Amino acid sequence: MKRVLAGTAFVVAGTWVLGWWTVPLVGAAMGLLWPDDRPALSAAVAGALGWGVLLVWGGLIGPVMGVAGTVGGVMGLPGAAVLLITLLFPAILSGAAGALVGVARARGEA
Amino acid sequence: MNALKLLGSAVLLAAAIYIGARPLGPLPALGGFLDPVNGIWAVARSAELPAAAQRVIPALGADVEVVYDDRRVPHIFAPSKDDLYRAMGYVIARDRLFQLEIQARATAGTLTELVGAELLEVDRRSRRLGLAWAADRDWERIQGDPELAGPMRAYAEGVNAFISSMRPEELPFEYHLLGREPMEWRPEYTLYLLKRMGWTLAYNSVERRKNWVASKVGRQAADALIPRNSPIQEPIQPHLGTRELVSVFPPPGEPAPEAGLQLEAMQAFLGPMDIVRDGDGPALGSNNWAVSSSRSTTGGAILAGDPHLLLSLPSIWYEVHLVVPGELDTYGVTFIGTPFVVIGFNRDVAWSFTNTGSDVMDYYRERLDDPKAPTRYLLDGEWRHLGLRVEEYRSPSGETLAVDTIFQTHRGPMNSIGGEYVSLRWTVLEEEGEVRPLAEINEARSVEEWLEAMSAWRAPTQNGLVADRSGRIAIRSAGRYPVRPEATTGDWFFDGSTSASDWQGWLPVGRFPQALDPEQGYLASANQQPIDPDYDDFFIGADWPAPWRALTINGLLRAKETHSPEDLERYQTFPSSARVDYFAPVFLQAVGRLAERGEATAEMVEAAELLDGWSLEYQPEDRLAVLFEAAMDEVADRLWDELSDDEGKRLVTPGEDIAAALLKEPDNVWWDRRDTERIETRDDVLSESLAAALVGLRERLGPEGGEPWRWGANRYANIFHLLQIPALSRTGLSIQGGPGLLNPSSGDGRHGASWRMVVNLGDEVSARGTYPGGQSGNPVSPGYTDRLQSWVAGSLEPLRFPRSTEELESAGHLRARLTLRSGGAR
Repeated sequence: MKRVLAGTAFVVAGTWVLGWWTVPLVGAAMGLLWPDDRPALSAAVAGALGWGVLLVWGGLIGPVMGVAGTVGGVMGLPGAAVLLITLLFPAILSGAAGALVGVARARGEA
Repeated sequence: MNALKLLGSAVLLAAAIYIGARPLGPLPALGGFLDPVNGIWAVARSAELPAAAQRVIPALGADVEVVYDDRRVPHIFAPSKDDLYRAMGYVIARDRLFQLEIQARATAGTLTELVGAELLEVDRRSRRLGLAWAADRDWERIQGDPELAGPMRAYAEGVNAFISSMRPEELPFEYHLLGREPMEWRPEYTLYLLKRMGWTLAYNSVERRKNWVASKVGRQAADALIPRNSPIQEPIQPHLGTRELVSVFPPPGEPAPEAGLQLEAMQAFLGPMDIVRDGDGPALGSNNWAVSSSRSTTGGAILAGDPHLLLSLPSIWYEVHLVVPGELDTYGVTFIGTPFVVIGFNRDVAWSFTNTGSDVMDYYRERLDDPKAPTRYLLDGEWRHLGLRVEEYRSPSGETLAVDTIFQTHRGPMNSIGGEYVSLRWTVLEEEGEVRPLAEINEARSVEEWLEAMSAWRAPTQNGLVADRSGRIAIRSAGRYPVRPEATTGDWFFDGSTSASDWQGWLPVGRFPQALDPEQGYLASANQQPIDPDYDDFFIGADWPAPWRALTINGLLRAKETHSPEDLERYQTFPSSARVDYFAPVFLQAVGRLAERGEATAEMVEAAELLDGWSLEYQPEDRLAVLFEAAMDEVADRLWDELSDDEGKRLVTPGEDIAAALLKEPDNVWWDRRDTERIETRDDVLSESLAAALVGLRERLGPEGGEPWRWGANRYANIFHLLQIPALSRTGLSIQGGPGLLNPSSGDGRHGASWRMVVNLGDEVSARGTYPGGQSGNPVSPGYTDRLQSWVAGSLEPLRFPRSTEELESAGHLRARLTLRSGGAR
């Protein structure tokens, strides 16, 4: 759990300071550091949680649900689907990177 | 197993990174788009103005204080005009940056660079017309003149200061959608937008209408159906009051073959015919009226204005209060991209415009040395070199999409149509003359000063109405009116090979339609023919909508000795019109005459009884206005069947004032229908139309009186976003308005009152106003549509006009502060 929270914190900080592309880097780092701890799942959860935290922060300032509804309207999707995609995307990025590096490291060690 | 897992995760990661980094079809790159800090979600954080903010504009000479009132209107208090315009550029970019860019690009013909190749044809038309080319040429000429170029330069510095210091949450929604960054704003873009205003308002539809009619029924009939003078006169310049001219209607003739070529030429320059601009016009129209102190309940002059334009979200207008102590204190609406108030008021005068609709556009058939590879054109027996423009169109990634070569004669741009070459002369493409008047009217202290400032105005021609604190009122149809060769009106091609075809000068200001302090104590314009031909028969145009609105407002202003600001506000959405007063009794009389002769059908009598019970008002709850409108449509279909194609479609319908004139000739051949054996008369057509309307409505809407018959269920306003995205638009707004009303509504609901304002120039200036939409361009901000409700209801909001920031604050109307600091000092 601590590792997931640490990953979440890095996703938040990385996205804030440098941008979205830090998400797979955090996932890869989790795979590298903790290859035995289901790195794909941990990294995916950290990715989704990280962006979730940022969305909640945005929601404290402005109408995040309004953005979801409007973007959904533009794309022909329900607003909830836009929120879901926003959480799934970092989960996939981070999870896939975590899995890739975790498996590679495990193979290397074997 | 591990190898499979490795491969699977590698593929998934590569795919996620790919769609994160690269746009996929119409979708932007998802990584940047979905990023909760810098992507689309960031716009939530700029939905509300921060209560207090400080920003730096490097070019500012001194700090500028901007306070936003409870209606989100910025009141800019600046120590100098240059700093004022810088701050204005900044605050407008803060609210409307995407609109600034898309409007400039639409004029420049560079939409493909923002949106993509699908807009290539739109860009081609813009460049062929040459609005940006003309604006660039103007900029070359005036950029050294600090008085003219200074405000535009300062405005650009403000816009660019915003762009360069923009925070992630300040990037507009649309840029996120398109995956683009804002372009740098150049000072000359202000001229682009003024030219675009010319394109919107000095577009001459009457020649198209006339040529189209001539292509069906010949030139003689076209001259009668699209006449030079309105059959019903209620001119802007008071003269003989309301009067009807004698009209002569020759029978339909043979199609005029050359009209087809002229239509093609117009299409090449102006695009395909548009049912709204080129079709029947009663849905469109702007109004302004004013009463002098002698006819006002407040003791001061009162002015009302409501320009009607294509509605959009965000609105074409932005409300602003500009203050430079001791120099300028002006409130009103500005066109996005223009550093001046266009319609508004200051502490001494108030003004508003309606479009004159004059004819300032002519076509010339040119003779060239080599039609396949032209280099010269013939003029007065000599070969002159053609000008040349090479226009290159680029995609967002910079690749060349197309290259066009556009030829120019001394008259303007030239197009090839079916082997013929036709050039266009248009005042909008000539030397600009709008910047100085706009700057000066903002500072005018009296009616005289305002009129003097507007005497330099060039295009588009505008009916400028002004009132001042001394209780005076005036109106002038200002702009450049070409003096054409003797006895010509430019309806048909001129011979381009002779300079005798060219314009020979401009009408002097003294002959413009105008009035100053008329005895009647009021003035009004509603796009009607501005001057009675009995007073001055000089040809200034023929694009006059039927004068129902003019008749209505003049009737209302005559009806009472004095008027209050509330009266003038109420008139803007007055629910009835001179049009129904004119036509409704005519239907009843026609059925009555047929009934007397025993020729009326049961449906005719029934429909007449229903119509007789109508209040003649277009209230949203009314259930009989639909019957009258359906009957008017049926009359048009029967009366103008000669202008319809085999499928019954009709692109041009003569004005209803022409139909009104034909009412005096009950047996005129135009009343007869082509598709029947018998010979119809006026009464037959009117009665059949009324009955057909009832039968058709029952089929379509059910029994009369039901919910589907409610006017509010049949007439909507549809306000589309600039990119026509439905989710960012507001459609189906049930409004009070209708054809020929002072609040006209078009069939597609896309046009309407773009700004409504009433100003009382009493001891203290007070004003009310609203426009559809809101100040913010951010679709998730409450400020995107917070005025829609009042606009739909036809009510105005009090406009704050404080003398200081403290006054606004102490009145409890302060929403937010923005301090703009000079970059050099800190």
